[in-house]
Amino acid sequence: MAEQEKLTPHSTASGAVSRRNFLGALAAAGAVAAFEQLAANPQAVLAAYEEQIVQGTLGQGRSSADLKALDVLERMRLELLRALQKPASERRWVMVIDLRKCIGCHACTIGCVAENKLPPGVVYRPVIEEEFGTYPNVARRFIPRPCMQCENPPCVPVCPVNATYTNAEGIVEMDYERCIGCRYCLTACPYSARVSDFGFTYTEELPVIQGLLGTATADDYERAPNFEYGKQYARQGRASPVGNARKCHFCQHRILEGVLPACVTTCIGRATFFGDANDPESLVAELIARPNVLRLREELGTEPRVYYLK
Amino acid sequence: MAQVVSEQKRPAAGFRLTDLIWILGVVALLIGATGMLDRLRFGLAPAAIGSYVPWGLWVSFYDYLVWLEVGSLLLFSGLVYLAHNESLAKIKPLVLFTGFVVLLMALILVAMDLGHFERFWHVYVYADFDSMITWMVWLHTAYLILLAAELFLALRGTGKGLLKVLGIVSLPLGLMLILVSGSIFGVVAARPLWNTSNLPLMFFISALASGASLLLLLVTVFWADKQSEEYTRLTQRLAQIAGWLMLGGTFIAGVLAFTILYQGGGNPQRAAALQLILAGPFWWSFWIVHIGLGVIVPVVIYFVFYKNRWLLMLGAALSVITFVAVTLNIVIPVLVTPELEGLAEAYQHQKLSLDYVPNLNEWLVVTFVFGFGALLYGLGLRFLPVLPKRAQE
Amino acid sequence: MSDKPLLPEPERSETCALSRRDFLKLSAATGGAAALLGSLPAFDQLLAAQRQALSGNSPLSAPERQIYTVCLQCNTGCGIKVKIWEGIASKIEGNPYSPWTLHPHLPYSTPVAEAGSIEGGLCPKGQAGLQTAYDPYRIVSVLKRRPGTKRGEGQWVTISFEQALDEIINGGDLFGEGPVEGLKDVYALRDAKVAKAMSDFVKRIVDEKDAEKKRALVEEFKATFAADLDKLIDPDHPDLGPKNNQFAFIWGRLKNGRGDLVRRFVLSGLGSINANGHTTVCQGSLYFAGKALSEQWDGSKFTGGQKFYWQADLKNSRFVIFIGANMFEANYGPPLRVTPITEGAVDRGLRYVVVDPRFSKVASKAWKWIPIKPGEDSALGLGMMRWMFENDRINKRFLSAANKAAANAIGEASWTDAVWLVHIKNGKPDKLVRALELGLVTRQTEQDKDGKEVTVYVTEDGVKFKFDPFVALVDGKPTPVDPNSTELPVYGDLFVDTTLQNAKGETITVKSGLQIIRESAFEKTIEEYAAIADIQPSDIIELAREFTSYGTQAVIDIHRGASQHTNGFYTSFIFFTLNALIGNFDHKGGLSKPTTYDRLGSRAKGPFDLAKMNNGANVPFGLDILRTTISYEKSTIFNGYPAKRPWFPLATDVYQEDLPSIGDAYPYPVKIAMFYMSAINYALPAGHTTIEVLADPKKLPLIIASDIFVGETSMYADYIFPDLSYLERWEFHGTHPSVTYKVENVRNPAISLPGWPMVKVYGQEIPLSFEALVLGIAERLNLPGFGPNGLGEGVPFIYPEDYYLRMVANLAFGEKEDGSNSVPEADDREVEIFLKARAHLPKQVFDPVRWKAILGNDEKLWRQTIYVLNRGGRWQDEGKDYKGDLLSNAYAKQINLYQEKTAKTINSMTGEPFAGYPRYYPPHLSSTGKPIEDGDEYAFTLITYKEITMTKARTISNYWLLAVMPENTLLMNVADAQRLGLRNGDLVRISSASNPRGVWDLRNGSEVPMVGRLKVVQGIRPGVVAFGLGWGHWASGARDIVIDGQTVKGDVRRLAGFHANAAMRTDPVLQDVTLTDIAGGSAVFYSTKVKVEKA
Ligand SMILES: Nc1nc2c(c(=O)[nH]1)N[C@H]1C(S)=C(S)[C@@H](COP(=O)(O)OP(=O)(O)OC[C@H]3O[C@@H](n4cnc5c(=O)[nH]c(N)nc54)[C@H](O)[C@@H]3O)O[C@H]1N2
Ligand SMILES: Nc1nc2c(c(=O)[nH]1)N[C@H]1C(S)=C(S)[C@@H](COP(=O)(O)OP(=O)(O)OC[C@H]3O[C@@H](n4cnc5c(=O)[nH]c(N)nc54)[C@H](O)[C@@H]3O)O[C@H]1N2
Ligand code: SF4
Ligand code: SF4
Ligand code: SF4
Ligand code: SF4
Ligand code: SF4
Ligand SMILES: [Mo]
Repeated sequence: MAEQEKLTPHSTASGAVSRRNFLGALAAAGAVAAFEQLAANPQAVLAAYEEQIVQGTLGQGRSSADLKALDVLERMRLELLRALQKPASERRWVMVIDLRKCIGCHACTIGCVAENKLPPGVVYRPVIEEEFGTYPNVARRFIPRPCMQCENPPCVPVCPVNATYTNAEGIVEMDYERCIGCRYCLTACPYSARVSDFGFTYTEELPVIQGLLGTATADDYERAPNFEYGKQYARQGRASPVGNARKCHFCQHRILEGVLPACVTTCIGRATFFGDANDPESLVAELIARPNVLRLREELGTEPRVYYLK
Repeated sequence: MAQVVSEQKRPAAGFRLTDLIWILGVVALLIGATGMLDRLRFGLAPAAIGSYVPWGLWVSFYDYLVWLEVGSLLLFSGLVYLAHNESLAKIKPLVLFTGFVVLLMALILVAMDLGHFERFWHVYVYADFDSMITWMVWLHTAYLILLAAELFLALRGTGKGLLKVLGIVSLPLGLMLILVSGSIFGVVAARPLWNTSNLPLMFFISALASGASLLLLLVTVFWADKQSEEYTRLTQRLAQIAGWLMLGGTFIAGVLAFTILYQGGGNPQRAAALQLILAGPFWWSFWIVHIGLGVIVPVVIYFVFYKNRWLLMLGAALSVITFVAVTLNIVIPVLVTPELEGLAEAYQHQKLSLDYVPNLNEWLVVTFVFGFGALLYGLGLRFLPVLPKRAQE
Repeated sequence: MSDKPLLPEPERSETCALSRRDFLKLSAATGGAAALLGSLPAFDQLLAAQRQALSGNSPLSAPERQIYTVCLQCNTGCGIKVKIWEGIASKIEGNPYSPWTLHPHLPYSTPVAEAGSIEGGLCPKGQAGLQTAYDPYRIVSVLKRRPGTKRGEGQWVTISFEQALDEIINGGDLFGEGPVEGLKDVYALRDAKVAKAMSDFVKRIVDEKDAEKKRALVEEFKATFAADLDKLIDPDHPDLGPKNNQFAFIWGRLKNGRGDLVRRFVLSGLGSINANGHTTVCQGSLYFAGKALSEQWDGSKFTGGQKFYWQADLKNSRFVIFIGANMFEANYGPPLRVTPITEGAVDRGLRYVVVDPRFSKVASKAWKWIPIKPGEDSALGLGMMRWMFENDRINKRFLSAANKAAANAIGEASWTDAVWLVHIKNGKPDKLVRALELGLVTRQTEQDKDGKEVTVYVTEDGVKFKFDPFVALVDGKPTPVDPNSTELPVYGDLFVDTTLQNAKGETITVKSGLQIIRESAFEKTIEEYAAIADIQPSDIIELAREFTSYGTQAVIDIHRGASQHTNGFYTSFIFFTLNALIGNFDHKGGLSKPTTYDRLGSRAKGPFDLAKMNNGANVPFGLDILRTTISYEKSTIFNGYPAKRPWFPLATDVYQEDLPSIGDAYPYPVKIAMFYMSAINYALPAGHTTIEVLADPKKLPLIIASDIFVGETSMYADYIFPDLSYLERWEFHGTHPSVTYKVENVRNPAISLPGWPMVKVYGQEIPLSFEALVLGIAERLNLPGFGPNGLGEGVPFIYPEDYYLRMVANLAFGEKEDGSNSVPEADDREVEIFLKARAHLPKQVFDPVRWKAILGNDEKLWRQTIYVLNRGGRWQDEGKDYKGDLLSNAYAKQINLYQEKTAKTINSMTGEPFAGYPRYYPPHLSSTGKPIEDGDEYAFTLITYKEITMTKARTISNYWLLAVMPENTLLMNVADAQRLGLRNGDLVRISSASNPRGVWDLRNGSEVPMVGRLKVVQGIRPGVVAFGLGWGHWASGARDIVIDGQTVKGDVRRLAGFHANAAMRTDPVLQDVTLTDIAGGSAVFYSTKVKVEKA
């Protein structure tokens, strides 16, 4: 029989898992932690992994099933359910966006548009694209921009009618019925995270002709209500939210239902994380303690609740 | 002491030059009505403003009108009640009426800028006094009432004492109003070019300067006896005040611009906005309209050719008109400067664009408001005793 | 607005008297093992209580408001759940049961009641799907070209479904242009027995090699079937088949279920051989390289090669090279394949390389980007291969295993023929060496179990083979090899280059397949390869070193960028060979193949063995219009080389050949073409040439289209039948190679549009749809396989569900005859959810009583079927996809690294045989293999790619997506733009030697210029320009049309951007078709030289 030879295992130089890497892996727990265990006894799981790093055995001889017991979405959802057990004031919702994982797919943008039935010209979470470098050393970066749900939100005090405020869970909410549409908050938000609803629909002015579906049926989906703030806003005439300022609300209506925000669940890069930062065992709590964490325009003192990992 | 009395004796019929004002007003109203109708039917959709440039022509015109209104009244009250300028006091009904009309125009315009103007009363019921707009509205309301009372008294020619009290009260109120209207912008930390303590101050100086020019214009147009020495003294005085205010304001602005632009001033967004004003696509509105026609020409006239009545009128008119370039340049370039680079390309819609140029609809609404103002003003000139009459008569 | 109050929050935590600890445990249970839930009644109650407390904020989370189905916004087929509000599809989410959207997916046993608030990821197109269904331009009535107007003019009249069917069946002077034959005329040969007899005879004719005898056989045929000759296209060429073949069914995107319906309708119904798809516009050569690689020895020939390919099992790969695979923007597809890459790269230390002339989004996260010269990927591959041979970095253990027994013994599932000996004739590799010729075996006859005489081949040691076995050298000794033997392992010598004595005493030269491959790789040095591909030699070496440094957890994943070239077959072959050299097939983190549950019920022979359920299938035979069923030499129309148009013995579904062949009437004229979900003129490179045929009733007398709007191709149809959108219909979407689980995704109606027209077929109302079209024709022509006895005596095929629901039941039942592989039965709660979720559907679409009856009122099967439908498919659970280091759904067969069958196939354009081994061919050749020179004027190479927001000709209606990218752009490198004085945002015209004016001539009096906006970037190879697919429409609601005299205004949003396929090079020999890979069939997208100038 012919000589049999295993291919050389991957060289340590490029394959060694640094402690940092490892912790990264651990935190993006879909990859490392079996959540059942983590929830029951996080210290023990951590210790076990620590040992593996020290001995350099991580990733070797472990089956994939061990490594990724759960999609990180599921972990976060379970953490969400856990957080909902606490009084609202004890929760601190934060979002973390890992720019290394964001692939600029805009699924979050459209997912949000669909969830909140946003009309033309209204967007809560655009994704900004940038290119750097010179051929052939090029880089591209994608930066999703939801509302930062600032701890210290400049958009709130400027509102003359208290139509926008921070609720008990730290979400900067809108009261559509109260808003007069002065758009002062739009100018005050340093992230351009607020937009105005100018009352457009996608299907207006499209043909109504025998033989074609036509606007009458075609606009059904955009006339159906959204559920922002736990209310039902069907798009009708010039009624709110038309004429109002609008913004991302961390999908509060979903959170309270035990469902993660739409932009989180649809994120195919698994770049967007959401949870209660007050829960020390939560994924987001881990992530925002990373050295590569940053927030946008931090110098303004807005204290965003949206963190980016670089 | 020359009496300023109403011109009851004048017949109500027969064409007068001032009738042109309301006639033009009607024309403007008709032209503007289409835009206004669109505004009422489709809300803000037809306007060029969007979400990234949320304020535009209307807010700029609003501020401009506030400057004229409050600036002229402040200066007037100051000169009349504090500096006891008796000459100026003669045109009190005219000044008050002018201010009142301008104020109404300003309020209509700003109401048109609201997404839900039918809810304007929310500002009284749900007021949040952290907001400069709340202050603005409340102060403006107070000012409106005050002005209405003053005007009422002035037109009736009664209650001099009360009028004086009101006039003096209007001083701090106007001062607050102008500072608050500046603070609306000044407190916005997100927009570095606005976010300076100087902005309210600049508003104050600009308002006074524009107000001075407005007073000058009113005097040069409506003063009964333009040959009188009193007229010459008054116009010269006003020209000097206006001139110095403009020079002073421009000087301070220049110094500020220097520090902002020096080595980028440490804040690229602020520098970029200023660059836009100075060298953006609308550079001419700053250099030619504002600095050229609005400052240099009037100032030269005010200091050199002040004796020429027509030139003086021209200078004052130029100054009054071109001040809108200042408010436009305060409001718009700052907003079209991106807060986050690339945002306007990330999700595209005309309402999510940073390219803002006032569109026809916005101009039509402004035209409507001016038409309304002109109509009111013209009718007022015709039917109310606001114009000064010759002492001899 | 109704103001449902938000529940006061603090109370919530008080009402829930659940301790934190308990909760942790419980929540762990839901996620980790939802199966456990059933055994935890307390938890159920708690969750229910909690849900009640929370409800009202987002009512769409209620399971009763959700229907699970499958996305078709692109071909990835992600599981979705459609959230429904008062009958309106309100929001689409990822189906968490589907491994496409959640990684890993929910355990299949998770109760649907619990899944209401669990969602997986979807791409932006998936999110925007509502706008495909609720598109104002959707047609709701049959449109007929207005008589007296030309094709493509955009003048339509609405006619009733019945009248339309009547006209297409009976023909007549339908357009005032003279008589048109209807389907009844083309449906000539109706007697299945005659067809079968003819078909068998034709086989004899084509298999006859001698020309004289062939002619004689044709005469004999004519005599035998004298009575039925009028039913043939040409009695002198019976191998062309019956007139029935003059009906051609051409599809673009077709999925199973409907695919089964099409086969039933066209093949076994109408008896036409022409049911052809779009594979070669997609990644044809990749598929057909896969087919050649997977041909299996059946004892007499290599056969059964599957049209498929392998992809990387990314979730466990440690090193991946993506070649022409647009992972983050397209591919199959983002939700499925992105997550393992991003999480892998950041959390798991995955290292990957992207080979692409364009700096794609996936390149932006790569360890390395190789901006290769378009079409020269094979140089990179061969360079790597050379280095691996030189440095002995190949998996010798795997390669030495010469058959199944050997592979299994060393823990492998698949094996290669790398060590088998190949004859070298005149220095060229030829046939595989057989044992008999070497005298290793002798031929003997013996009696088999049934007493029949059979030939056997016996070695000296008495080992018997049923066929003349292949040969490998084992330690220098020639040894017979039975590839499929499970008892006689053979481990061959890897590199053999020697002479042997054959039985006759002659000396023959032989080499092992691996030796041939090695020599092929050694034809050029690494520097030469690097120069060809215009990359660094160090890149080649680095890639090769890394590729061989991760055991079998390294993999090369290739896609369209590699396959859609004239050398695509060989490029694909090279990269699969590289994968084989490290032996990563069937390995965790290596190459994986697609695996689905059997919807047809043949494996379990029930509950519904649908392939067999037919009341008398027709027997289609003869040559298809694409010339793929018979080889050129065998046909009676053989007429020397080059053939009039190329033949494709190694491929099928050669999309680009459909219309030119019809135009040329080669091999025969087509009378009626039916297009299904196809935008053939838009999709194809040089697609404008197809319009000449589409627009000309003389070349193609009758065109019928099924579409959801008046599309790029259907605008040329004579009749357009409205179809249901993907949210309203049935389909079985199947899987992709990268999915390691055994799966089936079931598309089923989630909504029915208000007022959607219902039509009568076989006396019953069903929604106007593709099914209605097929059933309507079948009813009128009385086609076998349809109607009251369509599925066998007394078993009707009248409703779409008669067919599709049985398929679901088959999936539910599983693949074991005893039913041991079936899914659980839906409990009462699940049944309740099932019914409530569908309560908004009209009876014609959903009728539980009728449905249950279809399943024979078998309560158990009904509940099992509900179980599958409630989840939108069936999927193997996480973890079950591996057995140790191997995939449990392994390919587990032979991989042909040396392909005798390919080597014996003649290229109809050159008369030369194809090479049976991976080797270098330059790209951009004519159909006769000649280089194409277009001159310096055409300085840029045009390539194309997909943007994440667009799918071809069908998402322009999705306005949400247009906000992200209102139009496409032409990407150009900064350096090129500077040189040409072009600036970002400039409008530029794209033209080429075969389209010097740079326009689409629509043949209706209008032209669409290929003028687009330039985007100047660093991220593209200089000299290359690229455009994204999906814009530049001239139909699909982009332009005005007239229906019943009323103008339907086009929507400018749909007119945006440009489409540059018409610039792509036509073949200099054939003129009327794109460049083609004659071996693999691919249409060529990435090698045209174009001029870019300011418009
Ligand atoms: N958004 C979106 N996704 C889709 C689809 C869609 O229409 N839109 N369609 C689906 C379908 S049907 C398919 S077939 C798949 C296709 O999936 P892919 O084949 O992965 O996607 P394409 O964008 O067609 O890929 C072509 C890639 O090859 C690159 N390329 C071009 N020329 C060359 C070359 O010569 N060499 C190399 N190495 N690379 C080259 C292009 O820049 C591009 O990145 O996508 C599926 N997913
Ligand atoms: N430039 C460029 N061209 C390409 C590619 C590329 O990357 N770049 N990619 C190629 C690839 S990978 C492929 S697979 C081909 C695809 O090419 P095709 O399969 O021909 O095109 P599709 O756009 O998928 O669908 C075609 C048409 O079907 C109709 N349709 C849409 N929905 C429905 C429906 O629900 N029912 C029915 N009956 N009809 C419907 C519409 O008219 C639509 O235009 O395009 C190829 N063309
Ligand atoms: S990001 Fe803007 S809108 Fe959101 S809270 Fe902060 S200031 Fe307000
Ligand atoms: S737009 Fe509405 S929310 Fe914003 S400041 Fe004005 S009133 Fe407040
Ligand atoms: S949290 Fe919700 S509202 Fe905010 S961006 Fe995400 S999807 Fe939109
Ligand atoms: S969905 Fe995720 S990966 Fe896609 S753009 Fe948004 S954050 Fe990035
Ligand atoms: S990749 Fe996107 S468009 Fe394609 S099937 Fe999946 S969700 Fe639908
Ligand atoms: Mo494709």
